Parts: sequence; C-alpha cells; structure tokens
Amino acid sequence: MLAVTDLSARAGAFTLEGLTLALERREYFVLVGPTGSGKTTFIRCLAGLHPVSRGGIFLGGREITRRDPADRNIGFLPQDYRLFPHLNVRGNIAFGVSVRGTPRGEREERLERLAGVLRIAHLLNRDTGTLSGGEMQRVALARALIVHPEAILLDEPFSAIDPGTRVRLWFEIKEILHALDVAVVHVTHNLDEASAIADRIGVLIDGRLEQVGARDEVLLRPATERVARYLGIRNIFEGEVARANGGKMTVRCGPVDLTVQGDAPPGRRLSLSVRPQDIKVIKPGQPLREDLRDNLFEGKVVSAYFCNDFCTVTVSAGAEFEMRFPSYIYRRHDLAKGKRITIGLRQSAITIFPAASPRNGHGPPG
Amino acid sequence: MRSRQTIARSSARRGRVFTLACGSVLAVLVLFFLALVYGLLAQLRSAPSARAASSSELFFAIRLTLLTATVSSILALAVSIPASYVLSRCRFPFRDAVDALLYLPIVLSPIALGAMLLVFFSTPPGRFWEERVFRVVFEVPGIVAAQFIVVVGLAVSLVKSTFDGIDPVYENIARTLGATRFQAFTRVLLPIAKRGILAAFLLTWARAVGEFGATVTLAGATTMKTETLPVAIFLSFASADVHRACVLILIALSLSLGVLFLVRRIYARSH
Repeated sequence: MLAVTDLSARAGAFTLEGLTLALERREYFVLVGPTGSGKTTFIRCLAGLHPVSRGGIFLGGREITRRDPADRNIGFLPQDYRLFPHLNVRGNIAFGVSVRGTPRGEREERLERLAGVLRIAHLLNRDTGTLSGGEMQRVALARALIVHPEAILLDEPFSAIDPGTRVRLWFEIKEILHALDVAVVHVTHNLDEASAIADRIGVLIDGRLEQVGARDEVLLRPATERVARYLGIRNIFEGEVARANGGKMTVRCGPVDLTVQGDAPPGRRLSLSVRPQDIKVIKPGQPLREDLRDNLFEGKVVSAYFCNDFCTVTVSAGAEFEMRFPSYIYRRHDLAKGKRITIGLRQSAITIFPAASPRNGHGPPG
Repeated sequence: MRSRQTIARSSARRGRVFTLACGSVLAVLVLFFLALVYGLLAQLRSAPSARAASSSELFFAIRLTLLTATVSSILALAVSIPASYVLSRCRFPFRDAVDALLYLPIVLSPIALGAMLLVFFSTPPGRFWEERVFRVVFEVPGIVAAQFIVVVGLAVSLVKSTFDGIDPVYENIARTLGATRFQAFTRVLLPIAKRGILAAFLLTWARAVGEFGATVTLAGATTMKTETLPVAIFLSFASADVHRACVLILIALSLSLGVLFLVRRIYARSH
C-alpha cells in the first residue's frame, strides 16, 4: 500500500537517512523516537510538504515522491489538529470535497456518513473554538478522511487530549480507521500509546530507522543498544564472551558474568540488555524455572520508587540492576532500602547486540 | 541580621516605587497630549470665524484627502498582499535584502521620496508616462502616487507580520486535502488574515490622510486643486489663518482617533 525506499531528506543540519518501509493495507504503523529524531520530517516528506533528497515514496503501486501534496491522496493530521479557525465544523470537514469540486449531493452524503461514523453529527454547526480536545480530533480526522485518502498520517494525535480520555480514544480511533480501510502512520513519543495500538512499530533515532517490527518484537527485543536505551532500559551491559558451549555462552561484563543463549567465539565484544520487568526477586528455597537458573545474583536494594501501581527497584549486585514489578511484590518481599536479596535474570529475555557500531541493527550472533 | 519578613517588605516597597515612577511618566505624557488638544479648542473658542467652517475650500480639501487616501491605500494593499505572501512564505535569494528595501519608505523622509518621484518623472520613462499615460506632477494623481510611495512600505510590513503570525500548517493541510497553492491562499490564508489585513488597511489609510512631505513636493500646494488636509493646514498657517488651521487640525484629529478606535476594536476581536 504505502512504501518508502531508501528515503533521505535534509532539514537544516539534520538529515533523515535511508529509510525503507512498507505498509500493508489497513495496517496501523506507529513510528516512535525521541524528540528531534526526525519523525515529523518523515511524515512531512510522505505528505509532500518537505522535499526528499533521495529515494522514493510509493502509494498503491504508483510513485508519488515528487507529486504535489494535492495529488497524493494522503491525509495528514497535524499535532493540535489545526482546524481552520475561519470555518465551522461543517466547513472544516467539507473543505477537501469543496476545493475538489465534488458535487453538492455527494459532498453532503460523505459528510453525513463520516459524521455518523465518528459520532460528531451533533457538532456540525458548532464553532471550532468551542470543541474539546477529543471533539477536535474527530473533526480533524473527518476533514482528512472525507477525500478518501489511501493512507493517513497522524502527528502526535493524542497530545492535546486529557490523559483520562486518551486511553479510551486510542482503541476507538484505531477501530474507526481500520473500518475505513486506510493505512496509518502514527507518530508519537509515547511508548504506552505505541504499545497499545500499533500493529507494527518503527523506532527512529537521529534520522535512522533503527528497528521495524511487530509490536512485541520491538518492545521485548530491541535490535540495537540505541533502541534499548530509547525504550528506557537501563540494564545494558557491555562485555566479552568468556566461553561458549552448546548454544549457551558466558559473557563477562565487568564484575558480573551473564549466561545467555548464543554461540559467539570467545573474545567477541557484545552488549546485553534486559528489561526491568524480566528480572525477578528470588525467595530463598523457591523452586527455580530453568530460565532463571543461570543468572542469579545476590545484592542490596539501593533505591525504590513508585509510579502508579508499579515499583522500580535498583539492586546493587556487582553491577546495578533495575527491576520493575507491581507494587504488591514490593510489599510481599518487603524490599526496603538496604535489604539483601537474590535476583534472577530470565535468560530468554536477555537481548544481545554487537557492542561496536550500534547504529545499524544486526541480529544476535550465532 | 534583618528578618526575612523585613527584607520582603522593603523589596515590595521598592517594586511599588518603581511602578509609581513609570506611571508618573505615563501620566505626564497623557497630560501633554491633552494639553495640546486643550490648546486647539481654546484657540477655536477665542476667535470664532464662520468663514472657515463653511468654506468650500475646506470641503474640497476634505473630499480630496479622503478620495486620494482611499485610492492610494487600496493600491498599496493590492500590492502588499501578494508581495507579503512571497516574503512570508517563500525562500529565495536576497529575500532579506528585498524585505529591507521595502522598509525604506518607512524610514526615509517623505520629502526625499517626493523629490525622488519628481526627479523620476523628469527622466525619459517618466516623461513618456506623463505624455502618453496621464499627468502626475502637480496633478491629483501626483497626490495618490506620493501617498502610495510613502504608505506602501507600511502596508507590506503590516500585512507581512499578519501572514507571519499565521502558521503555514493551515495551508499545508489545505494542500493535502486537494487545494492548489492559489486555493490555499484564497480559501485559507486570506480569510484567516482578514482582520489583520483590515487593520493594515485602516492604518495605511490614516497614514495616507496625514501625508504631507511627498505630496507637497510632487503635487504642489495649489488651492482647490492639490490641496489635501495637511497641505491646507500648512497653507492656513502660512497665510496666518490660525483659526482655519485649527478647524482643519480638529478634523484630522477626529479622523485619526476614529481609525485608531476601529483598529483597536479589530485587534481586540481577533484575540
């Protein structure tokens, strides 16, 4: 449906480099990345609002790289929606069909249908200044969808919506867009949002697409150290393969030895990461799962803080390990600062990537 | 050691003294303006003259001023809207230099601008225009030309700042919805900029009404021919008819106050 090959673009001193991506029809693709990583420049290129210096953009099999934005058939929902202030809701939604000279009958029919689907029929004669964030979002979506785009670009579409309403809208908007048969590129820096609605996730860092994959693949198995760091994983250890045997290898990371799956030659330098959710507190005498047996460490609780129903605990056990679990686990194990505990790292959850050249993602060795 | 409370009190007092000092300067300025208006009214009361108010010359001057100022500011706006669009929305070489050039009429003395126009009309292309198109020097079109050259820079700067204040994302959205550049301009940018453009027109018009230097240099100061309000004020003073001059000033003052009031209303509504 929407494909990008080796796309490069320049924006001042910043460059987008060699982005390649292919979206299926009805796919909901979420592009995440830190502020200034080039997400907005990328969707501006797709919309035809920013010049492309190399590469191609294809929609439904035809090349649109140098086409005028008016002839691309790609909808665009900017951050804060930017409804036309001089038009009411009806005027905003009908703008696209009106400039294209669509006959009045068809115009009304499309407008009524979309207003029904998006449940905004009661807002049609309202002034845009009187709408709530969620209403504005729906009106902006209707404005973009009325011209029947084949793909739609959403730039931080939930940033202007109260956190309370946001979560419900994530799923509603996805359902509506899925029903309307469009491919979606949704840009956000909110990882919760991405993990809740994406079919696939792309991680853009410093103008390069570091990883593209199914939602869980990206969140559970970052392909590069940069992705791991972006995902907020602090348990990143660099080390050297000490020995490898039968599909398992021991990597010496400073004071700790980690046993991981793989078969790299001794001496090879690697980076390992493990999500804080994949480090467990081990009760003395507790029977251990196979997966946890090889990476057990004894240490001391250094800090603990709470956010919503979760607790993040840092344990010093040679290296510092950050763990995250529901708050009741904290109470169950009474993990006060200074307490000595045993922790276990799930071996299957340890991600491996080459220590050098972290820019280009490679699969794990072996 | 002084207590924290004492320090806070003395800092608040210093803040009040500062505000009071600035307020006093403002009050003196307002009083100064009021004194000028008082002087005008006192002069009018002390030497009433029926001749001045009913003079056909006076009505001629008012009519001529309103007409020429309206034409010149419409022309200035017609030029400044496309010019400002390009300056605000397009990147091209020497853009800053062009922008600076258009500000020249704002900073240059109007007499110098009038003289430059006068000199131009003595060159071959200027003479060609005078002979084949229509006469400008010492004629009514000369007033329009003089007012235009003085106010066009102001019109461009006001319209450009209005366009600059409107996020281009609105036009971009319009383009993704199928609008051409022209449609994005006429159906999105212009309607959003409407109030700013109206305010720009009023300010330009008011500046054109008050134009004197370039007008008197290019169009001369011929009674009942090229005598605009400011020229009439000048001529009245030159012939020692202070009363008539004061009536004219009062009219000019009312026009200016009216325009300022309207502009403030427009800006207040748009925010």
